[in-house]
Amino acid sequence: MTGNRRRRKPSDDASPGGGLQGAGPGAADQQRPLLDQAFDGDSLYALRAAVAAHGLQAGLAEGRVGDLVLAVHELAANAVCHGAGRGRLRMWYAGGTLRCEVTDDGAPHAAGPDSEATAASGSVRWNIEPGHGLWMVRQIADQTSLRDSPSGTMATVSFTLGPPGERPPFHLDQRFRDGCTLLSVTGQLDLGSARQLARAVDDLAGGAGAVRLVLDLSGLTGWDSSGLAALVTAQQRLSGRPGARMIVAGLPGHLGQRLRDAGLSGRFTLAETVDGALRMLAPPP
Amino acid sequence: MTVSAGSQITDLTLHDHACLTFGEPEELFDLTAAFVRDGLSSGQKVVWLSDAGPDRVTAELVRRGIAAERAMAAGQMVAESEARLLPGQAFSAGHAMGWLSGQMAACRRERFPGLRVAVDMSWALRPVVGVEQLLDFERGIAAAVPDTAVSVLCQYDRERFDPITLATATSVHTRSVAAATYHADATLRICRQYAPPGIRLAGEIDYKNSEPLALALAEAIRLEGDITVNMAGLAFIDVSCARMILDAARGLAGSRAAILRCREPIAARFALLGAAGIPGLSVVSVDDR
Repeated sequence: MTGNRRRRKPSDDASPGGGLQGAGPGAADQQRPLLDQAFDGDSLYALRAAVAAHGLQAGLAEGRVGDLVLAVHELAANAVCHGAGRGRLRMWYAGGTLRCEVTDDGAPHAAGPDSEATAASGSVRWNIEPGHGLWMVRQIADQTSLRDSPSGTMATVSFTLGPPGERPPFHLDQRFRDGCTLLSVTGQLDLGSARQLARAVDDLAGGAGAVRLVLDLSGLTGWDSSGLAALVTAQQRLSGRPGARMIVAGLPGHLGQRLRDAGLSGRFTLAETVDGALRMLAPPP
Repeated sequence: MTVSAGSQITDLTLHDHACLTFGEPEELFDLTAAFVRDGLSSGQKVVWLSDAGPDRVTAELVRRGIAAERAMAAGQMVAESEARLLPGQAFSAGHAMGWLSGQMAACRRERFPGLRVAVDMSWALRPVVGVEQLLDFERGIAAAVPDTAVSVLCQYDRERFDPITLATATSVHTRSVAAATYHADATLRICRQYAPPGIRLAGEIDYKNSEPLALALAEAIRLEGDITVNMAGLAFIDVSCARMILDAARGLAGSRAAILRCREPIAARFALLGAAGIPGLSVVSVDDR
Protein backbone atom coordinates (compact mmCIF):
# COMPACT_ATOMS: atom_id res chain seq x y z
CA MET A 1 0.00 0.00 0.00
CA THR A 2 2.77 2.36 0.93
CA GLY A 3 4.78 1.25 -2.07
CA ASN A 4 1.89 1.92 -4.42
CA ARG A 5 1.48 5.40 -3.20
CA ARG A 6 5.15 6.23 -3.37
CA ARG A 7 5.61 5.15 -6.93
CA ARG A 8 2.46 6.76 -8.15
CA LYS A 9 3.73 10.04 -9.47
CA PRO A 10 6.75 12.21 -8.84
CA SER A 11 4.58 15.21 -7.97
CA ASP A 12 3.88 13.51 -4.63
CA ASP A 13 7.07 14.87 -3.18
CA ALA A 14 6.47 18.36 -4.45
CA SER A 15 3.05 18.57 -2.90
CA PRO A 16 2.65 20.47 0.36
CA GLY A 17 2.57 17.30 2.40
CA GLY A 18 5.91 16.20 1.00
CA GLY A 19 7.51 19.50 1.81
CA LEU A 20 8.70 18.65 5.30
CA GLN A 21 12.42 18.64 5.64
CA GLY A 22 14.37 15.90 7.31
CA ALA A 23 13.11 12.35 7.47
CA GLY A 24 10.29 12.28 4.96
CA PRO A 25 7.56 9.74 4.73
CA GLY A 26 9.88 7.59 2.66
CA ALA A 27 12.15 6.96 5.61
CA ALA A 28 12.15 3.73 7.51
CA ASP A 29 9.89 5.40 10.09
CA GLN A 30 6.99 5.19 7.74
CA GLN A 31 7.15 1.43 7.58
CA ARG A 32 6.51 1.31 11.30
CA PRO A 33 3.51 3.50 11.94
CA LEU A 34 2.74 4.32 15.55
CA LEU A 35 -0.89 3.78 14.77
CA ASP A 36 -2.69 2.22 11.86
CA GLN A 37 -6.41 2.14 12.53
CA ALA A 38 -9.44 1.72 10.32
CA PHE A 39 -12.51 3.75 11.21
CA ASP A 40 -16.11 4.30 10.27
CA GLY A 41 -18.86 6.50 11.64
CA ASP A 42 -19.31 4.30 14.68
CA SER A 43 -15.69 4.16 15.76
CA LEU A 44 -14.64 7.80 15.87
CA TYR A 45 -14.74 7.82 19.66
CA ALA A 46 -12.22 4.97 19.76
CA LEU A 47 -10.15 6.69 17.09
CA ARG A 48 -9.98 9.89 19.15
CA ALA A 49 -8.99 7.96 22.26
CA ALA A 50 -6.17 6.18 20.39
CA VAL A 51 -4.91 9.42 18.83
CA ALA A 52 -4.93 11.19 22.20
CA ALA A 53 -2.95 8.38 23.81
CA HIS A 54 -0.34 8.42 21.06
CA GLY A 55 -0.11 12.20 21.02
CA LEU A 56 0.62 12.24 24.74
CA GLN A 57 3.09 9.40 24.37
CA ALA A 58 4.89 11.31 21.60
CA GLY A 59 5.42 14.20 24.00
CA LEU A 60 2.91 16.74 22.67
CA ALA A 61 1.76 19.26 25.27
CA GLU A 62 -1.79 18.91 26.59
CA GLY A 63 -3.29 21.66 24.44
CA ARG A 64 -1.56 20.30 21.37
CA VAL A 65 -2.95 16.82 21.99
CA GLY A 66 -6.43 18.35 21.97
CA ASP A 67 -5.65 20.01 18.63
CA LEU A 68 -4.31 16.76 17.18
CA VAL A 69 -7.44 14.90 18.25
CA LEU A 70 -9.70 17.55 16.73
CA ALA A 71 -7.75 17.66 13.45
CA VAL A 72 -7.82 13.88 13.02
CA HIS A 73 -11.47 13.73 14.03
CA GLU A 74 -12.50 16.38 11.51
CA LEU A 75 -10.59 14.68 8.67
CA ALA A 76 -12.02 11.28 9.60
CA ALA A 77 -15.54 12.69 9.95
CA ASN A 78 -15.12 14.27 6.52
CA ALA A 79 -14.16 10.89 5.07
CA VAL A 80 -17.17 9.29 6.73
CA CYS A 81 -19.71 11.96 5.79
CA HIS A 82 -18.47 13.13 2.40
CA GLY A 83 -16.24 10.28 1.24
CA ALA A 84 -16.37 6.51 1.35
CA GLY A 85 -18.11 6.35 4.72
CA ARG A 86 -15.04 4.79 6.27
CA GLY A 87 -11.29 5.15 6.12
CA ARG A 88 -7.94 4.60 7.69
CA LEU A 89 -5.68 6.65 9.91
CA ARG A 90 -1.95 6.15 9.95
CA MET A 91 0.31 8.06 12.28
CA TRP A 92 4.10 8.08 12.37
CA TYR A 93 7.14 10.16 13.31
CA ALA A 94 8.58 12.15 10.44
CA GLY A 95 11.47 14.55 10.90
CA GLY A 96 10.59 16.02 14.27
CA THR A 97 6.88 15.96 13.60
CA LEU A 98 4.01 13.66 14.30
CA ARG A 99 2.35 13.04 10.98
CA CYS A 100 -1.18 11.73 10.52
CA GLU A 101 -2.59 10.55 7.26
CA VAL A 102 -6.29 10.00 6.79
CA THR A 103 -7.48 8.17 3.69
CA ASP A 104 -10.99 7.26 2.70
CA ASP A 105 -9.96 3.81 1.62
CA GLY A 106 -12.11 1.87 -0.72
CA ALA A 107 -14.11 4.78 -2.03
CA PRO A 108 -16.40 3.22 -4.61
CA HIS A 109 -15.53 6.04 -7.00
CA ALA A 110 -11.78 5.79 -6.39
CA ALA A 111 -9.79 6.43 -9.53
CA GLY A 112 -6.99 4.18 -10.67
CA PRO A 113 -3.33 5.07 -10.26
CA ASP A 114 -3.25 6.65 -13.73
CA SER A 115 -6.06 9.06 -13.23
CA GLU A 116 -3.93 12.03 -14.10
CA ALA A 117 -6.96 14.17 -14.86
CA THR A 118 -8.03 14.23 -11.25
CA ALA A 119 -4.51 14.69 -10.05
CA ALA A 120 -3.83 17.54 -12.44
CA SER A 121 -6.97 19.42 -11.52
CA GLY A 122 -5.85 19.25 -7.93
CA SER A 123 -9.40 18.59 -6.89
CA VAL A 124 -10.27 16.33 -4.06
CA ARG A 125 -13.23 14.02 -3.98
CA TRP A 126 -14.47 14.93 -0.54
CA ASN A 127 -17.07 17.55 -0.63
CA ILE A 128 -15.26 20.06 1.52
CA GLU A 129 -17.40 23.01 2.34
CA PRO A 130 -15.87 26.21 3.60
CA GLY A 131 -16.68 26.54 7.26
CA HIS A 132 -16.53 22.81 7.70
CA GLY A 133 -14.04 21.09 9.93
CA LEU A 134 -11.27 21.40 7.40
CA TRP A 135 -11.11 25.13 7.92
CA MET A 136 -10.44 24.46 11.59
CA VAL A 137 -7.85 21.81 10.72
CA ARG A 138 -5.90 24.39 8.71
CA GLN A 139 -5.95 26.72 11.69
CA ILE A 140 -4.62 24.24 14.21
CA ALA A 141 -2.27 21.83 12.41
CA ASP A 142 1.31 22.86 11.71
CA GLN A 143 0.89 21.61 8.15
CA THR A 144 -2.08 20.37 6.20
CA SER A 145 -2.29 18.83 2.78
CA LEU A 146 -5.06 17.25 0.78
CA ARG A 147 -4.72 15.28 -2.40
CA ASP A 148 -6.11 12.39 -4.33
CA SER A 149 -4.40 9.07 -4.06
CA PRO A 150 -5.07 5.79 -5.87
CA SER A 151 -7.17 4.65 -2.97
CA GLY A 152 -9.22 7.77 -2.51
CA THR A 153 -8.66 11.17 -0.98
CA MET A 154 -5.73 11.49 1.34
CA ALA A 155 -5.36 14.19 3.95
CA THR A 156 -2.17 14.70 5.92
CA VAL A 157 -1.61 16.84 8.97
CA SER A 158 1.64 17.37 10.84
CA PHE A 159 2.22 18.46 14.40
CA THR A 160 5.70 19.62 15.31
CA LEU A 161 7.30 17.91 18.27
CA GLY A 162 9.33 20.30 20.36
CA PRO A 163 13.07 19.79 20.64
CA PRO A 164 13.57 17.95 23.94
CA GLY A 165 14.25 20.25 26.85
CA GLU A 166 15.25 23.32 24.86
CA ARG A 167 12.07 25.34 24.96
CA PRO A 168 12.41 28.77 26.57
CA PRO A 169 9.93 29.24 29.42
CA PHE A 170 6.89 31.39 28.74
CA HIS A 171 7.32 35.00 29.73
CA LEU A 172 5.20 38.08 29.27
CA ASP A 173 6.89 41.44 29.56
CA GLN A 174 4.92 44.67 29.60
CA ARG A 175 6.45 48.14 29.29
CA PHE A 176 5.58 51.57 28.01
CA ARG A 177 7.49 52.98 25.04
CA ASP A 178 6.90 56.02 22.83
CA GLY A 179 3.35 56.39 24.11
CA CYS A 180 2.53 52.76 23.36
CA THR A 181 2.17 49.65 25.47
CA LEU A 182 4.70 47.06 24.42
CA LEU A 183 3.75 43.48 25.32
CA SER A 184 6.52 41.00 24.56
CA VAL A 185 5.76 37.30 24.48
CA THR A 186 8.54 34.74 24.88
CA GLY A 187 8.10 30.98 24.60
CA GLN A 188 5.04 28.93 23.81
CA LEU A 189 1.61 30.56 23.75
CA ASP A 190 -0.57 27.64 24.71
CA LEU A 191 -3.17 26.17 27.03
CA GLY A 192 -0.91 26.84 30.00
CA SER A 193 0.00 30.43 29.17
CA ALA A 194 -2.66 31.93 26.88
CA ARG A 195 -4.71 33.08 29.84
CA GLN A 196 -1.89 35.43 30.94
CA LEU A 197 -1.95 37.21 27.61
CA ALA A 198 -5.76 37.35 27.64
CA ARG A 199 -5.70 38.90 31.10
CA ALA A 200 -3.11 41.51 30.12
CA VAL A 201 -5.15 42.51 27.07
CA ASP A 202 -8.36 42.59 29.12
CA ASP A 203 -6.69 44.94 31.60
CA LEU A 204 -5.59 47.23 28.79
CA ALA A 205 -8.95 47.17 27.03
CA GLY A 206 -10.77 47.77 30.29
CA GLY A 207 -8.59 50.73 31.28
CA ALA A 208 -9.17 54.36 30.53
CA GLY A 209 -7.71 56.29 27.60
CA ALA A 210 -6.58 55.31 24.15
CA VAL A 211 -4.88 51.94 23.82
CA ARG A 212 -1.98 51.62 21.44
CA LEU A 213 -0.58 48.14 21.78
CA VAL A 214 2.44 46.59 20.13
CA LEU A 215 2.41 42.85 20.60
CA ASP A 216 6.01 41.75 20.18
CA LEU A 217 5.98 38.10 19.13
CA SER A 218 9.64 37.85 18.07
CA GLY A 219 10.33 35.50 20.97
CA LEU A 220 7.27 33.35 20.32
CA THR A 221 8.15 29.70 19.65
CA GLY A 222 4.71 28.43 18.74
CA TRP A 223 1.07 28.19 19.71
CA ASP A 224 -1.76 25.77 20.14
CA SER A 225 -5.41 26.59 19.52
CA SER A 226 -5.70 28.27 22.94
CA GLY A 227 -2.75 30.51 22.09
CA LEU A 228 -4.06 31.31 18.62
CA ALA A 229 -7.49 32.00 20.08
CA ALA A 230 -5.90 34.40 22.58
CA LEU A 231 -4.30 36.34 19.70
CA VAL A 232 -7.53 36.43 17.70
CA THR A 233 -9.53 37.44 20.77
CA ALA A 234 -7.02 40.17 21.69
CA GLN A 235 -7.39 41.67 18.23
CA GLN A 236 -11.20 41.45 18.40
CA ARG A 237 -11.26 42.88 21.90
CA LEU A 238 -9.28 45.94 20.88
CA SER A 239 -11.01 46.35 17.52
CA GLY A 240 -14.27 46.69 19.40
CA ARG A 241 -12.90 49.57 21.43
CA PRO A 242 -12.94 53.02 19.85
CA GLY A 243 -9.49 54.55 19.53
CA ALA A 244 -7.68 51.29 20.26
CA ARG A 245 -5.08 49.80 17.94
CA MET A 246 -2.98 46.68 18.07
CA ILE A 247 -0.01 45.83 15.89
CA VAL A 248 1.65 42.44 15.90
CA ALA A 249 5.40 42.81 15.51
CA GLY A 250 8.23 40.43 14.76
CA LEU A 251 6.14 37.32 14.14
CA PRO A 252 8.68 34.60 13.24
CA GLY A 253 8.52 33.49 9.61
CA HIS A 254 7.13 30.00 10.13
CA LEU A 255 4.36 31.32 12.38
CA GLY A 256 3.53 34.05 9.88
CA GLN A 257 3.19 31.33 7.28
CA ARG A 258 0.85 29.38 9.54
CA LEU A 259 -1.26 32.46 10.08
CA ARG A 260 -1.53 32.89 6.31
CA ASP A 261 -2.31 29.18 5.80
CA ALA A 262 -5.06 29.48 8.37
CA GLY A 263 -6.48 32.46 6.52
CA LEU A 264 -6.10 34.59 9.63
CA SER A 265 -3.32 37.00 8.67
CA GLY A 266 -5.84 39.49 7.31
CA ARG A 267 -7.27 39.95 10.77
CA PHE A 268 -4.03 41.41 12.11
CA THR A 269 -1.92 44.44 11.36
CA LEU A 270 1.58 43.07 11.07
CA ALA A 271 4.93 44.81 11.35
CA GLU A 272 8.39 43.37 10.78
CA THR A 273 9.89 44.88 13.89
CA VAL A 274 8.87 46.59 17.11
CA ASP A 275 10.40 49.85 15.89
CA GLY A 276 8.39 49.60 12.69
CA ALA A 277 5.23 49.02 14.71
CA LEU A 278 5.97 52.00 16.95
CA ARG A 279 6.44 54.19 13.88
CA MET A 280 3.08 53.00 12.54
CA LEU A 281 1.43 54.00 15.81
CA ALA A 282 3.24 57.30 16.20
CA PRO A 283 0.96 60.34 15.94
CA PRO A 284 1.49 62.28 12.68
CA PRO A 285 4.05 65.06 13.09
CA MET B 1 -37.09 12.03 21.67
CA THR B 2 -37.13 13.66 25.09
CA VAL B 3 -37.15 11.00 27.75
CA SER B 4 -40.15 12.08 29.71
CA ALA B 5 -39.42 12.93 33.28
CA GLY B 6 -43.02 12.67 34.37
CA SER B 7 -42.89 16.19 35.72
CA GLN B 8 -40.46 19.04 35.39
CA ILE B 9 -38.96 20.34 38.60
CA THR B 10 -40.40 23.74 37.79
CA ASP B 11 -43.94 22.29 37.75
CA LEU B 12 -43.93 21.40 41.45
CA THR B 13 -46.41 23.15 43.70
CA LEU B 14 -47.32 22.95 47.34
CA HIS B 15 -48.91 19.67 48.52
CA ASP B 16 -46.57 17.77 46.20
CA HIS B 17 -44.62 14.87 47.56
CA ALA B 18 -42.22 14.43 44.69
CA CYS B 19 -39.58 11.82 44.01
CA LEU B 20 -36.50 13.22 42.31
CA THR B 21 -34.14 10.73 40.71
CA PHE B 22 -30.69 11.83 39.63
CA GLY B 23 -27.68 10.24 37.97
CA GLU B 24 -24.86 12.52 39.08
CA PRO B 25 -24.27 15.25 41.68
CA GLU B 26 -24.44 18.02 39.04
CA GLU B 27 -27.96 16.95 38.15
CA LEU B 28 -29.00 16.71 41.81
CA PHE B 29 -27.68 20.19 42.60
CA ASP B 30 -29.16 21.68 39.45
CA LEU B 31 -32.67 20.32 40.01
CA THR B 32 -32.67 21.07 43.71
CA ALA B 33 -31.38 24.58 43.06
CA ALA B 34 -34.39 25.17 40.82
CA PHE B 35 -36.67 23.82 43.56
CA VAL B 36 -35.02 26.16 46.08
CA ARG B 37 -35.06 29.14 43.71
CA ASP B 38 -38.77 28.79 42.91
CA GLY B 39 -39.59 28.44 46.63
CA LEU B 40 -37.58 31.47 47.66
CA SER B 41 -39.02 33.61 44.88
CA SER B 42 -42.58 32.79 46.02
CA GLY B 43 -41.68 33.79 49.57
CA GLN B 44 -41.84 30.24 50.92
CA LYS B 45 -39.47 28.82 53.46
CA VAL B 46 -36.98 26.29 52.13
CA VAL B 47 -35.24 23.50 54.04
CA TRP B 48 -32.61 21.35 52.32
CA LEU B 49 -31.35 18.32 54.14
CA SER B 50 -28.32 17.07 52.26
CA ASP B 51 -25.47 14.62 52.68
CA ALA B 52 -23.20 17.23 51.09
CA GLY B 53 -23.29 19.45 54.16
CA PRO B 54 -24.51 23.05 54.54
CA ASP B 55 -21.33 24.71 53.20
CA ARG B 56 -21.33 22.77 49.96
CA VAL B 57 -25.08 23.32 49.54
CA THR B 58 -24.62 27.06 49.96
CA ALA B 59 -21.72 27.13 47.50
CA GLU B 60 -23.67 25.14 44.90
CA LEU B 61 -26.65 27.48 45.16
CA VAL B 62 -24.51 30.62 44.94
CA ARG B 63 -22.72 29.18 41.91
CA ARG B 64 -26.13 28.95 40.23
CA GLY B 65 -26.98 32.55 40.92
CA ILE B 66 -29.22 31.98 43.95
CA ALA B 67 -28.81 34.36 46.89
CA ALA B 68 -28.70 31.50 49.39
CA GLU B 69 -26.63 33.33 51.99
CA ARG B 70 -29.08 36.21 52.15
CA ALA B 71 -32.03 33.82 52.44
CA MET B 72 -30.28 31.94 55.23
CA ALA B 73 -29.43 35.13 57.10
CA ALA B 74 -33.09 36.15 56.82
CA GLY B 75 -34.25 32.77 58.11
CA GLN B 76 -36.02 31.95 54.86
CA MET B 77 -33.70 29.09 54.11
CA VAL B 78 -32.12 26.35 56.21
CA ALA B 79 -29.43 23.94 55.03
CA GLU B 80 -29.24 20.91 57.27
CA SER B 81 -26.92 17.94 57.41
CA GLU B 82 -28.44 14.49 56.98
CA ALA B 83 -27.12 13.76 60.48
CA ARG B 84 -30.40 15.36 61.63
CA LEU B 85 -32.19 12.24 60.46
CA LEU B 86 -29.68 9.84 61.98
CA PRO B 87 -29.11 10.50 65.64
CA GLY B 88 -26.56 7.93 66.83
CA GLN B 89 -26.14 6.67 63.25
CA ALA B 90 -29.52 4.96 63.43
CA PHE B 91 -32.67 5.74 61.51
CA SER B 92 -36.19 5.66 62.84
CA ALA B 93 -39.21 6.73 60.82
CA GLY B 94 -40.77 8.15 63.95
CA HIS B 95 -37.80 10.40 64.66
CA ALA B 96 -37.61 11.51 61.02
CA MET B 97 -41.32 12.38 60.96
CA GLY B 98 -40.79 14.28 64.21
CA TRP B 99 -38.09 16.32 62.46
CA LEU B 100 -40.40 17.08 59.54
CA SER B 101 -43.31 18.04 61.83
CA GLY B 102 -40.91 20.35 63.69
CA GLN B 103 -39.98 22.05 60.42
CA MET B 104 -43.65 22.43 59.48
CA ALA B 105 -44.49 23.89 62.88
CA ALA B 106 -41.57 26.33 62.73
CA CYS B 107 -42.65 27.48 59.29
CA ARG B 108 -46.20 28.18 60.50
CA ARG B 109 -44.82 30.01 63.52
CA GLU B 110 -42.60 32.15 61.30
CA ARG B 111 -45.66 32.92 59.15
CA PHE B 112 -44.22 31.85 55.82
CA PRO B 113 -46.96 31.17 53.24
CA GLY B 114 -45.52 27.75 52.50
CA LEU B 115 -42.66 25.32 53.03
CA ARG B 116 -40.44 23.41 50.62
CA VAL B 117 -38.35 20.56 52.00
CA ALA B 118 -35.70 18.70 50.01
CA VAL B 119 -34.41 15.48 51.57
CA ASP B 120 -31.48 13.54 50.19
CA MET B 121 -32.06 9.83 50.85
CA SER B 122 -28.48 8.77 50.09
CA TRP B 123 -27.95 7.83 53.73
CA ALA B 124 -30.17 4.80 53.05
CA LEU B 125 -27.45 3.39 50.79
CA ARG B 126 -25.22 2.88 53.79
CA PRO B 127 -25.61 0.07 56.30
CA VAL B 128 -27.54 2.24 58.74
CA VAL B 129 -29.55 0.66 61.54
CA GLY B 130 -33.25 1.07 60.79
CA VAL B 131 -32.80 1.59 57.04
CA GLU B 132 -35.81 -0.73 56.47
CA GLN B 133 -37.98 2.07 57.87
CA LEU B 134 -37.25 4.29 54.85
CA LEU B 135 -40.55 3.36 53.28
CA ASP B 136 -42.41 4.08 56.54
CA PHE B 137 -40.88 7.55 56.47
CA GLU B 138 -42.04 8.02 52.87
CA ARG B 139 -45.57 6.83 53.76
CA GLY B 140 -45.53 9.19 56.72
CA ILE B 141 -44.66 12.12 54.45
CA ALA B 142 -47.37 11.07 52.00
CA ALA B 143 -49.90 11.16 54.84
CA ALA B 144 -48.65 14.46 56.30
CA VAL B 145 -48.42 16.64 53.19
CA PRO B 146 -52.00 16.77 51.79
CA ASP B 147 -54.05 19.75 52.95
CA THR B 148 -50.95 21.64 54.08
CA ALA B 149 -48.90 24.32 52.40
CA VAL B 150 -45.93 21.96 52.28
CA SER B 151 -44.06 20.37 49.41
CA VAL B 152 -41.45 17.64 49.97
CA LEU B 153 -38.84 16.61 47.40
CA CYS B 154 -37.23 13.25 48.15
CA GLN B 155 -33.97 12.62 46.32
CA TYR B 156 -32.79 9.24 45.09
CA ASP B 157 -29.60 8.39 43.23
CA ARG B 158 -30.96 6.19 40.43
CA GLU B 159 -27.54 4.68 39.72
CA ARG B 160 -27.05 3.47 43.28
CA PHE B 161 -30.47 2.56 44.62
CA ASP B 162 -31.69 -0.87 43.58
CA PRO B 163 -34.62 -0.88 41.15
CA ILE B 164 -37.04 -2.44 43.64
CA THR B 165 -36.45 0.20 46.32
CA LEU B 166 -36.70 2.90 43.63
CA ALA B 167 -39.94 1.53 42.21
CA THR B 168 -41.50 1.15 45.66
CA ALA B 169 -40.39 4.60 46.76
CA THR B 170 -41.67 6.21 43.57
CA SER B 171 -45.09 4.64 44.03
CA VAL B 172 -45.81 6.50 47.28
CA HIS B 173 -45.05 9.93 45.75
CA THR B 174 -47.47 12.21 43.93
CA ARG B 175 -44.97 13.01 41.19
CA SER B 176 -41.74 11.76 39.78
CA VAL B 177 -39.16 14.31 38.69
CA ALA B 178 -35.93 14.04 36.71
CA ALA B 179 -33.99 16.24 34.32
CA ALA B 180 -35.40 16.22 30.79
CA THR B 181 -32.86 14.13 28.92
CA TYR B 182 -32.24 14.36 25.20
CA HIS B 183 -29.47 11.84 24.98
CA ALA B 184 -27.76 9.54 27.43
CA ASP B 185 -25.29 6.79 26.77
CA ALA B 186 -21.84 5.78 27.97
CA THR B 187 -20.06 8.64 26.19
CA LEU B 188 -22.53 11.53 26.15
CA ARG B 189 -25.33 13.02 28.15
CA ILE B 190 -27.46 15.95 26.98
CA CYS B 191 -30.08 17.24 29.39
CA ARG B 192 -31.96 20.33 30.41
CA GLN B 193 -30.41 22.56 33.02
CA TYR B 194 -32.83 24.27 35.36
CA ALA B 195 -30.72 26.66 37.42
CA PRO B 196 -29.62 28.68 35.57
CA PRO B 197 -31.90 27.64 32.67
CA GLY B 198 -30.36 26.09 29.61
CA ILE B 199 -28.83 22.76 28.68
CA ARG B 200 -25.98 20.68 29.96
CA LEU B 201 -23.60 18.51 27.94
CA ALA B 202 -21.23 16.00 29.50
CA GLY B 203 -18.85 13.53 27.88
CA GLU B 204 -17.89 13.80 24.21
CA ILE B 205 -20.08 15.12 21.40
CA ASP B 206 -19.68 15.01 17.64
CA TYR B 207 -21.89 15.26 14.56
CA LYS B 208 -23.39 11.83 15.23
CA ASN B 209 -25.37 13.39 18.09
CA SER B 210 -26.25 16.64 16.40
CA GLU B 211 -29.93 15.68 16.34
CA PRO B 212 -30.50 15.55 20.12
CA LEU B 213 -28.28 18.62 20.46
CA ALA B 214 -30.43 20.52 17.98
CA LEU B 215 -33.57 19.50 19.86
CA ALA B 216 -32.10 20.48 23.22
CA LEU B 217 -31.04 23.87 21.87
CA ALA B 218 -34.41 24.45 20.24
CA GLU B 219 -36.21 23.74 23.52
CA ALA B 220 -33.78 25.94 25.45
CA ILE B 221 -34.45 28.80 23.05
CA ARG B 222 -38.16 28.47 23.74
CA LEU B 223 -37.50 29.19 27.42
CA GLU B 224 -37.58 32.78 28.53
CA GLY B 225 -34.54 34.80 29.47
CA ASP B 226 -30.86 34.09 29.20
CA ILE B 227 -29.58 30.68 28.22
CA THR B 228 -26.63 28.80 29.64
CA VAL B 229 -24.97 25.97 27.77
CA ASN B 230 -23.09 24.18 30.52
CA MET B 231 -20.20 22.21 29.01
CA ALA B 232 -18.06 22.02 32.15
CA GLY B 233 -18.20 18.23 31.90
CA LEU B 234 -17.57 18.09 28.16
CA ALA B 235 -14.20 16.69 27.08
CA PHE B 236 -14.63 16.92 23.30
CA ILE B 237 -16.79 18.82 20.83
CA ASP B 238 -16.33 18.74 17.09
CA VAL B 239 -16.64 21.70 14.76
CA SER B 240 -20.14 20.88 13.54
CA CYS B 241 -21.61 20.78 17.06
CA ALA B 242 -19.68 23.88 18.14
CA ARG B 243 -21.06 25.71 15.11
CA MET B 244 -24.57 24.54 15.93
CA ILE B 245 -24.29 26.05 19.41
CA LEU B 246 -22.92 29.32 18.00
CA ASP B 247 -25.71 29.43 15.43
CA ALA B 248 -28.27 28.99 18.20
CA ALA B 249 -26.64 31.83 20.14
CA ARG B 250 -26.66 33.99 17.02
CA GLY B 251 -30.35 33.22 16.64
CA LEU B 252 -31.08 34.95 19.93
CA ALA B 253 -30.18 38.11 18.02
CA GLY B 254 -28.68 39.89 20.98
CA SER B 255 -32.02 40.29 22.73
CA ARG B 256 -31.09 37.63 25.28
CA ALA B 257 -27.72 36.59 26.56
CA ALA B 258 -26.17 33.21 25.89
CA ILE B 259 -23.48 31.94 28.24
CA LEU B 260 -21.21 29.09 27.22
CA ARG B 261 -19.44 27.51 30.18
CA CYS B 262 -16.63 25.22 29.11
CA ARG B 263 -13.05 24.17 29.67
CA GLU B 264 -10.28 26.27 28.19
CA PRO B 265 -9.49 24.17 25.06
CA ILE B 266 -13.15 24.16 24.10
CA ALA B 267 -13.41 27.89 24.80
CA ALA B 268 -10.53 28.34 22.33
CA ARG B 269 -12.47 26.38 19.74
CA PHE B 270 -15.45 28.71 20.10
CA ALA B 271 -13.14 31.73 19.91
CA LEU B 272 -11.59 30.50 16.64
CA LEU B 273 -15.08 29.95 15.26
CA GLY B 274 -15.86 33.60 15.86
CA ALA B 275 -17.67 33.60 19.21
CA ALA B 276 -16.42 37.10 20.04
CA GLY B 277 -18.34 38.53 17.09
CA ILE B 278 -21.75 37.31 18.29
CA PRO B 279 -23.70 39.93 20.24
CA GLY B 280 -24.86 38.83 23.68
CA LEU B 281 -22.66 35.75 23.73
CA SER B 282 -20.08 35.18 26.41
CA VAL B 283 -17.74 32.22 26.74
CA VAL B 284 -16.75 31.49 30.31
CA SER B 285 -13.82 29.18 30.98
CA VAL B 286 -14.22 26.87 33.90
CA ASP B 287 -11.13 25.62 35.64
CA ASP B 288 -11.01 21.89 35.27
CA ARG B 289 -7.89 21.32 37.27
